[in-house]
Amino acid sequence: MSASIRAIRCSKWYGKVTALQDVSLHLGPGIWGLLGPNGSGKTTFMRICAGQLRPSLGEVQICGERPFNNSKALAQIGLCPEADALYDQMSALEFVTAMARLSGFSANDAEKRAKASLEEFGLEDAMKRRMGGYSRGMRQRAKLAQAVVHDPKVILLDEPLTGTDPRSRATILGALQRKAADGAVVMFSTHVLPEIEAITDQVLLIARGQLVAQGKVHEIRSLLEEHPHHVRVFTAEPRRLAALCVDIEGVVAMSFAPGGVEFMTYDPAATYQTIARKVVEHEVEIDSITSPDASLEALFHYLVERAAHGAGTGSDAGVGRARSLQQANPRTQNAPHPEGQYAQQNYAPGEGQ
Amino acid sequence: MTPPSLFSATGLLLRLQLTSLWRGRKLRVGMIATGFVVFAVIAARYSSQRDVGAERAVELAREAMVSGFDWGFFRLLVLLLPFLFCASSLSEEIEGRTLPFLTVRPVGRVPLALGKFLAGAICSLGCIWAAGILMHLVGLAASPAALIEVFPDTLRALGAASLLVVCYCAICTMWAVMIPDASGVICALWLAILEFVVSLLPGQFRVISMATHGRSLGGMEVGGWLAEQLPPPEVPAAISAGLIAGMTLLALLVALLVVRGAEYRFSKA
Repeated sequence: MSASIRAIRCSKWYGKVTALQDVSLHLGPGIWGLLGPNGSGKTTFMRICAGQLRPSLGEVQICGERPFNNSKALAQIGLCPEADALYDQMSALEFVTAMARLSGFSANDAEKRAKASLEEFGLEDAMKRRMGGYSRGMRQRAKLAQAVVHDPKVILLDEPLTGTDPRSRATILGALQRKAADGAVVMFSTHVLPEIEAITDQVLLIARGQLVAQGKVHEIRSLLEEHPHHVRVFTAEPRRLAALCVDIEGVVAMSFAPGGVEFMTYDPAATYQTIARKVVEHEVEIDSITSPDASLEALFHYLVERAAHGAGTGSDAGVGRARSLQQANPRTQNAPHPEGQYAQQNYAPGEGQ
Repeated sequence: MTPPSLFSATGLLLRLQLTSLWRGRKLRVGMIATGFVVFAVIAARYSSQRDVGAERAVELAREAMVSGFDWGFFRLLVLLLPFLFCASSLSEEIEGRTLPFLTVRPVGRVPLALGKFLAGAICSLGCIWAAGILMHLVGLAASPAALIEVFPDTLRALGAASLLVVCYCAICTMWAVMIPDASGVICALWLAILEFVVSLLPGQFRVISMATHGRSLGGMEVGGWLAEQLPPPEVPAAISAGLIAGMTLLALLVALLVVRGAEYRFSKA
């Protein structure tokens, strides 16, 4: 069975609190960023995938198997939990060796693998020291080493870059890219957007327990036609530029931003062209033209705001009016869908969950 | 790569738990508590030593050992050590947030509970047997005849204490996996009320308590409140041993059934 994560209408609630609502997706080999603000359901989804929790409704399959209390599925999973918690009295080598042995390797093989895994994450000099004395970044790398020591097909990483320095980040991201290139599904949760952008453009956006979007950043971005695109021009003559560009077709708003002018447009390609032409024709001095929307940040906030109109976690759960109409089709990073995928929300007043 | 068998997974988790106990504080606390008990019994034994005949000396030594086992072991250590090693064995993993490392491995959760139970039982038994043998050797060193004559009694008391220790470890493990949030309080109440207080009640009430059966098996006098007016029923040794073993198996079975499907407190982290 090839590496995959499949969720079929998966929901999870704790009492009255809905943590995850009707999530469907299918992930193939590659690196997937699971994005969402704190409390959005990322960790719950990660834990369901790791077999730590059972979905209240629907199901999750890891390589075709339900993971909860299922050795066959669990053998394919590597998990790096979010918490900064380790067995402080043990050395990293002892810890990772023990984890490899619990995955089914003999004592010799387990130790060899543990050493190789710790070396891969740059802990070769510290592997025999007790982990209680490790820095935050070293602890994070020890956790990652145990997650991949048994060559899992599905690697679940909950905020793996928390507390790491730039060098550790580079080491970690490099190792994850190698695992993905070897055919593993790497799901990487974070609420720090640049972390995702540094490693993949395949994202899953989750907000208030719902999957609000899935696909490549630019693909998702292009589907959001109702979300106006921002174009920012840094110039010393913002008023002059604004006066020149006031009649550009597709521009719906214009504002003065620090150091320049910001345009909102539904036709970004035409807007870029027209601005460039006008700048040349009228010899306006500009420093740069950028699009704040190119970063995930803008996209993320936009989608989160959309999802905020729907039912969510917390006390409002159960009285929400929105119904998620997710259309999660099987896709892989190797064979991306040309249009990305957008989990559409229908706001239907009076319609219960 | 084949997932480890139940036996080998239990062995691995047992080893992991023993390492944690060995390098942590609990084993040291247990050893210190045991040391205090041994010291107290030996001190009491030598402070009451009088110049009596050889036969009487053996008798006095035997009485000293019986009362040392009764108060130091059956009323204290057999309750304290399982509580210390097993009552919070799972909640520590949950609160320390290390449980996902174990539950994501392809070994199932049964070996997890079994490993923790066995580690607790091994540490408790180690303390009990080391203390018992030490108490016997040092406490009776002054009368070499008693060293040999009283030895079967010591073995009998240690055997009964071992049965009780294993039973209490199973009970503490059961509560640890059933209600990890409050397992410490529940185990403390269970051991204090059902085992300690009930074992002192008059008449037939005390047969509920495993401590009564353990003390009876260990050759201790089954006293308690109003023992003369309402004497406890005579329970054959085989039945007492069977009851303790049955309770142990029942508690373990419940623990293993619960642990298989439990989600624990992951949701709150």
